[in-house]
Amino acid sequence: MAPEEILGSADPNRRDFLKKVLAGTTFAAPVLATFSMEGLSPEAAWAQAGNCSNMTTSECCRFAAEITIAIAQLGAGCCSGGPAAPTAPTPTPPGFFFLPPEIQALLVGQLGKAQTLMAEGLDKGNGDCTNPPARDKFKKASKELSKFETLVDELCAGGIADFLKGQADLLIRAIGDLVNGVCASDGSRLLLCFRT
Amino acid sequence: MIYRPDTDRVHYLNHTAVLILELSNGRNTPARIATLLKNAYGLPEAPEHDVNETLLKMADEGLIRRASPGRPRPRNATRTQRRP
Repeated sequence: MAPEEILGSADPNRRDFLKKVLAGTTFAAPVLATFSMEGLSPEAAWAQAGNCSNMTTSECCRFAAEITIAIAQLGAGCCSGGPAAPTAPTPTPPGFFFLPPEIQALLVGQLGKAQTLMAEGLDKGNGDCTNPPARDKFKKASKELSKFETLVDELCAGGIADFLKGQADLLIRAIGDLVNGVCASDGSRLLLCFRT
Repeated sequence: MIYRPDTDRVHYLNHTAVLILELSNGRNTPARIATLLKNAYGLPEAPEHDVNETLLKMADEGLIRRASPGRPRPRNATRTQRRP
């Protein structure tokens, strides 16, 4: 590969950066993936879960809301520095805040997709959350969480990867229960970690 | 990775997309960018289609904009420029 030509066509102050980009790479089709960060805060999740507040809320809607909040908590990296839930691994693994910002952003973006689909399912559920449109949204949220796990595999290693995938597994299983109408919400099993 | 606070959107680019973005400096046409990629990676053909599609996506997302209008140019010769 002869990078001189491409470097000569770039802005002079960007050439060192481009050298690093070019180093050791082969051509791959260009990829531009865009994620909306909208509604990724826990506060936004509470607001989304509040869709059930003005209607007769079923156990499954409450469970779906808890899952939505748990996804937001995972995205907010609430476990970093905070006390772990009794069921969390010991020692407490680092949260997103210990990852490089670029990786944090990518992971949070993927979780945002799952969170949005959960919120849409709550909306479609219209106080029931077991109807087919709602279940369809929840299933899609589960798939987005699976993609999150794949992303973690690509971007992370070691304990943090195991921790994040473990939390995602927990959420995926919970969504599976929700889709099957097993909505034993006890208000605690999905709270991955607690703020104090 | 690009985060745009004004739109609250995160853009992930692989290395080829980064090169395309960096070469969108107002001096290179899409065809030129494709040729540069071809030469850099020893490709049999210039990936013009990939480059054009990526530039369109970047423009849609506001990552690049068309260079200041001067003389009308054919579409495939339109220069693009990264947003400041």
